[in-house]
Amino acid sequence: MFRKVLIANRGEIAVRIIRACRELGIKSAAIYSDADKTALHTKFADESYNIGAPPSSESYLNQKKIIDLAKKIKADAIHPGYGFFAENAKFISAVEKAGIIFIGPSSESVALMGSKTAARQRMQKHNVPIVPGTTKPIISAVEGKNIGKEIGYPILLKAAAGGGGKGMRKINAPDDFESAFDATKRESLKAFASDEIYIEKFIEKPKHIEVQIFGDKHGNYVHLNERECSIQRRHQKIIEEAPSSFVNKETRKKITQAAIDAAKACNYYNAGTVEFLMDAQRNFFFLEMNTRLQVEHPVTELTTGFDLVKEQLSVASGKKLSFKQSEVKINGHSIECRIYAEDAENNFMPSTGKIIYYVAPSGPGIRLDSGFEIGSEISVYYDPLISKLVCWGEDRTIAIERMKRALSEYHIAGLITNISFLKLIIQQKDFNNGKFDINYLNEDFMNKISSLQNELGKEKLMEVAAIFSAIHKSKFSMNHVSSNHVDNINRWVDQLYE
Amino acid sequence: MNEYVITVDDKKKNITVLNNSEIKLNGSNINYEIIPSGCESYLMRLNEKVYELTAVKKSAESYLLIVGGHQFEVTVRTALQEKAIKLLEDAQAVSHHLREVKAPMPGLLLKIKRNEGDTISQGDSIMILEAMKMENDLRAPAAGQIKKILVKEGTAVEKGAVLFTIE
Repeated sequence: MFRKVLIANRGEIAVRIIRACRELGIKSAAIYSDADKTALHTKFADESYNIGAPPSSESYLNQKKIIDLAKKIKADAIHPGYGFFAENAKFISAVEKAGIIFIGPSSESVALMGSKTAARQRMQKHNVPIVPGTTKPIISAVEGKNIGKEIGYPILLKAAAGGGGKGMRKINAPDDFESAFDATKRESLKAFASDEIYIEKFIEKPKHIEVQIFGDKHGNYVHLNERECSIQRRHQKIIEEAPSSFVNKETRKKITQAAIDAAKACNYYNAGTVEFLMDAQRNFFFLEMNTRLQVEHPVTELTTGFDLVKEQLSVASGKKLSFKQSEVKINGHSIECRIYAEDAENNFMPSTGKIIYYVAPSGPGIRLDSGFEIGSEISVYYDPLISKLVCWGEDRTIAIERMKRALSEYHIAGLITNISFLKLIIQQKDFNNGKFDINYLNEDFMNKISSLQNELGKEKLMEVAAIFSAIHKSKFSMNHVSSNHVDNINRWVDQLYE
Repeated sequence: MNEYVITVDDKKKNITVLNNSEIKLNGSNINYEIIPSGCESYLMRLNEKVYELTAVKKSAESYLLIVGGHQFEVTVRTALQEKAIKLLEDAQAVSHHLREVKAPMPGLLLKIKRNEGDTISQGDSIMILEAMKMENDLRAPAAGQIKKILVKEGTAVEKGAVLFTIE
C-alpha cells in the first residue's frame, strides 16, 4: 500500500479522501489555494501545501506545480477526487511519467471516455445501447442544423469533453440553433478547454440511472448496482438515491451487465460510473462514463457496505478487488442531498461569504460529508457545494422521513443555502411516489417554489423572524434608558450610535 | 411605546413588546425568552417552541435573519418611524423614479444584451454575469427604459456594483 498520497482537490471530496487515508494509515498531503486557507481539508490533512492564487488555473488546475510538489514531498500516489484533473488524460500521463501512481483509471481509458464522441463509437461497437445522434463532432452550425433536421427536434447540443451538465443545451427549433451553437462552444471551451460539440436526440421524460462499477488491474470487474439521479436542476444533480425505485430486478440485471460491458470495452480499472437515460418503458441508453469517483458515491457505500475510496486506494496499489460480485447486496435505501450555497428563490444565484454559524445534523442513519465549517469562506472561484447530506433507512419511505428530519436540524448562517429548497422537494408527493424524471424541476416547478414554501410553514418562520427583531429593538431602547449595561447581544446595541 | 412595524421580505407585521417576557401579535400574547448562543446566533423560545436563529446586522434598522433553513431580510421600525417614512415615500413617488440595478454577486460580465435607451419589460434578460463557472442571467427587476449602463462587457464587477439604471 502507499506511504503518502497527495490529494489534488479541495472541499468535501478532499476531506473524504483524507479520512480514508487516515483510516488506512497512509499519510495525506493536501493542497490549498489562497482562497481555501479556512477550508476543512486544509486543516484535516497530515500535511498541507499552499499551491497558489485562488483562480483554479493558478492552483488546483496547475499541473506543473502539483506534480513538482508530489515529487518534492515524495508522495507515491495522487488522488484527483472529482472535477479538476480527475478526467484529464494529459495530467494522468504526466503523473504516470513522473513515476507516481494515479488513483484512477489509465490515461487511455480516460481519453477514450473523455471524448463523448469516441465513447459513443466504442459503445456502439460493443453493443451497449447509445442515445441516437452523432458519434463525431460537428464542425459548423450549418452542418449541425442539417443533422438536427434529420434526427428531429428537440435535440441536445453537448460538449464532447463535457460532463456534470456544463456545456450542454437543448434546442427546440432550428431557429435557435445558431445562438445555442455559439454559446455551447464558448462554455465548453472555458470549462473543458475544448470546443468540440456533438448532437444527441432529446429523450422525452427520461430518468437518470447510473451504475457504479469497479475494476482492478488484473481484469476483474464488479458492479455495485444502480443509483438514480433524476432530481436535477440545469442538468446538475441535486438529490441522488440508491437503489432506484423505478428499476426492477430484471432491468437491474440488464443495465448492470451493460455497464460492465462498457467498462470492459475500454479496459477500465478503478472506480467508474456508467450513466444511462431510461425511458418510461425502462429502455436505457448509454449517456457517458464518468472515469472517476462520483460526487454521489456515498449512497452506494451506505447500501452495499463497501468503502469505495479505500477500494480505490487498494486497487491503485495493484491489489485485486477485495470482494466478489456475489458479495454485493442491496441493503435498505440511501438518499443524498447536495447542500449548495445558492438562493433558490432568487434564480439560484450563488451566494458567497463566511459561514458564521453552523449546526450539523446527526443521529441515526445520518452521514454528512462536509468540506467547510464555521469560519470557512465560500468563495466565488469554485463550485458552490458546501456539503453532502446522506441518510440511510430500511426502505425508501424511512430514508425520506430521515432526510426531512436531518434537513430540519441543519443550520448554516452567513450565506444563503438551498436547504429549504431541498426540504421542499423531499416533501412533494411525486417525489415520495417515485414519479419524477430529469425534467421534474422545470420552470413550472420553479415558479411554484414560493407558494409551496408558504404551504410548508415559511409564513410561520417569517413571523418568528419578526418577533425576534421586535424584541431586540425594544431591548436596546430599554437598556439605553436604564443604564450603560452592555447586553450580551451587544451587536444590536451598536445601532444606538448609527 | 414599544410598538413596532417589522418588514420581512416585503410583508409587514405589527408587534408590541409588552415586557421582558411577553409580546403581542395579531391580538394574542406570546411568552418569550431569548438566550444568545454566540456567533451572532440565539435561541428563542416562543411559548413552548424553541427556535435557533442567526441575526446579521446590515444597517441601523435592517438585519439578515436565518431560521429554519430560510434567510429573511428584516427591517425594524417603531410605529412612529414607519409613519414618518411612509409619508416621505409617498412624497417621493410623485417625483420621477430612477432605479439602480446592482450586481448580486462578484463575477465577470460576459455579455451585455441591451443598450442604453432600450425599453424593457420586467424579467427581460439584460446581462450575463459569470460566477462560479456558471452563466447567470441578470433580469430587469422592473419595466421601463435603460437610462445608463455603467459597466463594460468582459470586465469583472464586485458585489453591489451598480450595473445599470432603469427609469
